[in-house]
Amino acid sequence: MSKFRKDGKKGVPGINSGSLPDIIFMLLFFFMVATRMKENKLQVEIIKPKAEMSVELEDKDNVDFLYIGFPVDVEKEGTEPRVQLDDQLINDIQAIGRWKNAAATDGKTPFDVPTSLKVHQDVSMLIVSNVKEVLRDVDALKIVYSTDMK
Amino acid sequence: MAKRELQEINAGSMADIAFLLLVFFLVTTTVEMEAGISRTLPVKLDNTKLPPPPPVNARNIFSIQVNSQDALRVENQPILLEELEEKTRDFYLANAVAETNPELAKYNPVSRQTVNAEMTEVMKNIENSTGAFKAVFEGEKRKLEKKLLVLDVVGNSYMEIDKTAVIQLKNNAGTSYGMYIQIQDVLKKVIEDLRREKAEELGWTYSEIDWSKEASEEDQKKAEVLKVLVPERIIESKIK
Repeated sequence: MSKFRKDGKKGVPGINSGSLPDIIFMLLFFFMVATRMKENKLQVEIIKPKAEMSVELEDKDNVDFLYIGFPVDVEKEGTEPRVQLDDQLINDIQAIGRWKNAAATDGKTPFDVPTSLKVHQDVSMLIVSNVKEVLRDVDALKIVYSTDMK
Repeated sequence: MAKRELQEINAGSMADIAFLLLVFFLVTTTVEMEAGISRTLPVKLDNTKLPPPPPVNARNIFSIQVNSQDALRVENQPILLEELEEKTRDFYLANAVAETNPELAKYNPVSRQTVNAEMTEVMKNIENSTGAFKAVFEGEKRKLEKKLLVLDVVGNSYMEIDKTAVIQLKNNAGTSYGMYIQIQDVLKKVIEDLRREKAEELGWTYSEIDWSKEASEEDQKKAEVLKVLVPERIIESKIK
C-alpha cells in the first residue's frame, strides 16, 4: 500500500534511563544539604513547651544540646526528671560543667557555644535552675530554651 | 592493528546505587526545626569586690511571682496569665510621657547636659579606681556612650525609663517549666511590641532591622537605640 511502510518489527522504543542516576543524585544532594543527622537517642521523654516568640536556631552545628525529662526506662531509672548529656543520663549535675569544658575545643571557650535546653514542660523549675547555675559556673552564659512554634 | 571499538559501560545500576544512598540519608537525618528563646545568663561575680549597687526604689521593680501550683502574682496581686501582657506594658508605659502612676516605673528626662555631667563623674571614677570597681565604671561609661548615640538620633532630649527598672521573676521550686516559658514568651512579646512601636515613632520599619551580628552598621545602630529606649532587664532569683 503505502510507500513509506517500514520493514521489520514495530514496537515501543525503550526509554532511555541514562539520566535517571543524575536525577536521583540531585535528590540525594538536596537531602544531604537540607537535613542534619539524627540527634542522640533520647532516654528521657520530652514534650517541649510551645512559645509564640520562638526564633529558629541559626547555627545548629555550633550548639550543645542538653535534655531534661522523665526517664523512658521507668523500672531502671525511676520517675524523677533526669538530665541527659550526649547519650547518657547523669547522676551528678556537676558533670554538665565538665561536659561543657570538654566540648570547647579549637580555641573555643564554653561561652562561645550556646547550650540548648530541651526540657519537658512538666519538669519543675528547681532542676532547671540548678542546671543554669552550673552553666554560669563554667561561663557558658548563652542558653536557648528549646520550644515548639505555636 | 585493527581499531577496537570501546565498549560502553553499563550505567543501569547507577540509579540503584544512588537510590540506596538516598534512602540511607532519608532514614538517618531529620528536618526537624530547631526553635527556641535565647537568653544570656548573668555573669557570676564576686559581690564582695564590687561597689554597692545604687539604691532601688520599689516602684521600679516589676515583680512576678509564680508558686508551685503555677499561679501568678504580679506586684503582690494574684492575676491570670492572660493579664500579664497588659500589666507589663503598663509598667513600661504608664509614666512614659508624664508621671501618672507613682507606683510604676519612673521616667527621667535625658539630655546632652545630664549625660555629659554623668560622663565627667564616671571618668573621674575610672581614674581613681582599680580592678572590679574600674570594670563597673567602664560599663557605666559604655552605657552613657549609647545614650549619646540615642540623642544623636532622637534629638536633644528624651524620656528614659529609670536605670534601676527591672522585671523580677521569682519561681518556686515546684513551678513547671511550661509555665516559666509561657511567662518568658509574654515578656519577650511585650518588649518586642514596644520596640516595634518605638521604631515606628522614629520612622523605621521594625521588620527590616537586622538584629544579628552580621548586620550593617546602620542596622546595628538602630538596634542599639531601640535597646536603650526599651531595655530588656529581667532578673531571676536562684531557687533554694
